[in-house]
Amino acid sequence: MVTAKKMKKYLELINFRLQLVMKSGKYVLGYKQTLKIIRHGKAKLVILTNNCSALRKSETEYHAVLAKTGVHHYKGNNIELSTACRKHYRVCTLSITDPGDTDIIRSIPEQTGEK
Amino acid sequence: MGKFVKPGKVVLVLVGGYSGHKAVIMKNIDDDTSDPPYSHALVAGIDHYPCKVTASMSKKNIAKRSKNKSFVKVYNYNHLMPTRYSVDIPLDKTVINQDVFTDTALKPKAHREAKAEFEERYKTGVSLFGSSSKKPPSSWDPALHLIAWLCSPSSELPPGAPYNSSDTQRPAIDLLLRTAAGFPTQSLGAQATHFESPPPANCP
Repeated sequence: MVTAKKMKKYLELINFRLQLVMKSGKYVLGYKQTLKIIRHGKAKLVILTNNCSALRKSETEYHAVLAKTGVHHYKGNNIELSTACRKHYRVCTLSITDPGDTDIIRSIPEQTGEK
Repeated sequence: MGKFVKPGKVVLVLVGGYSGHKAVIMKNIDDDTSDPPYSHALVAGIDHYPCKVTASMSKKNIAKRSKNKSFVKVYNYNHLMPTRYSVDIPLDKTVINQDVFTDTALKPKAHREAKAEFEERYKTGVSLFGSSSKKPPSSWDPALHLIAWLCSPSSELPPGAPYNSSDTQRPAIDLLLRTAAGFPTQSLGAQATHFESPPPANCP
C-alpha cells in the first residue's frame, strides 16, 4: 500500500519535526499525561503509534475530538517513535503542547490529508 | 485545544461504587492546588435508574418504578469518562456544592434536589414522545429514555471534527459508549439529533 519511498519521505518529514519539537517545544509523553493535557485543553497535536492498543487509541481519539485537537497516527511502533524522539524508553502516545520552532501542527495534517 | 470538562457535561463514572453510572458535571476544578490536590469535578449522577415500565402496569406501579436515586460525589478526572453529550438540567448550584461533603445536614438536600431534577426531566421527556396519555409506550425501557433525555440534542461536535465516523476501527471505546448509553446508536461522529425521535422498541 504505502511504498517504501513514500514511507521514507514521510518518516524523514515527521521525524525531523519531532526532533525539533523535542529540542525547542513542549510536549508530554505517555498515555496518562497525554489525557491530562487533553482534558486541560493544552494539547495541540496528539500522536499515536500503530501498536497502541485499540482501547487506548479509541479513548485518546475520543478525548481529542471533544477537545477539538488533531490526532496523528504515526506510521511506526512505539520503539520507532521513541527513536524519533531520541528517548531511551518506548512511547506510544505523545502530545505536543507547544510546537516551538516547528510547523508540525500545520504540516502534519496537511501531509496526511494529501495521502 | 478546547476545554470540554465543563458544567453540564455528561460523564461516565469509571471507578468506585458508581462505576458505569452516568453523571452530570456540576462544577470542575482544573488546577491541582485546591483540596484535593488533583483536577477533580463535582458530579451529580444517578444511583438507581428508573425501572422498565409497560402500559399494562397500574399507575401506582408505574409511579413506583419511575423513581430514581441520585448521588453527589467528587471525582478525579482520571476516574471519569467524558462523553460528547451535555445536559441543560437546572441543578441548583447553591444546594449541590462541595459543602455537602463537610456538613452532613446538607447532603440529603443535595440528593433530593438532584433526584427531583432528574425525575422531572425523565417525566417530561415521556410525555413529549408522541403519546398523548401520561403512560409511556409499552415495552419501552425508561432507563434508556432517561438517558436519552439526560442528553440534550446539543452535540458539541463541529462538522469538521477530525474524528471521522467513516474512519478506521475504533472498536473498544465506541462499543463501550454505545452499550453504556444502551442504544444501538449510530457512529459517534453523527450528530445527536437522533435522540429527538423515539428510541427503537427493541434495544440490546
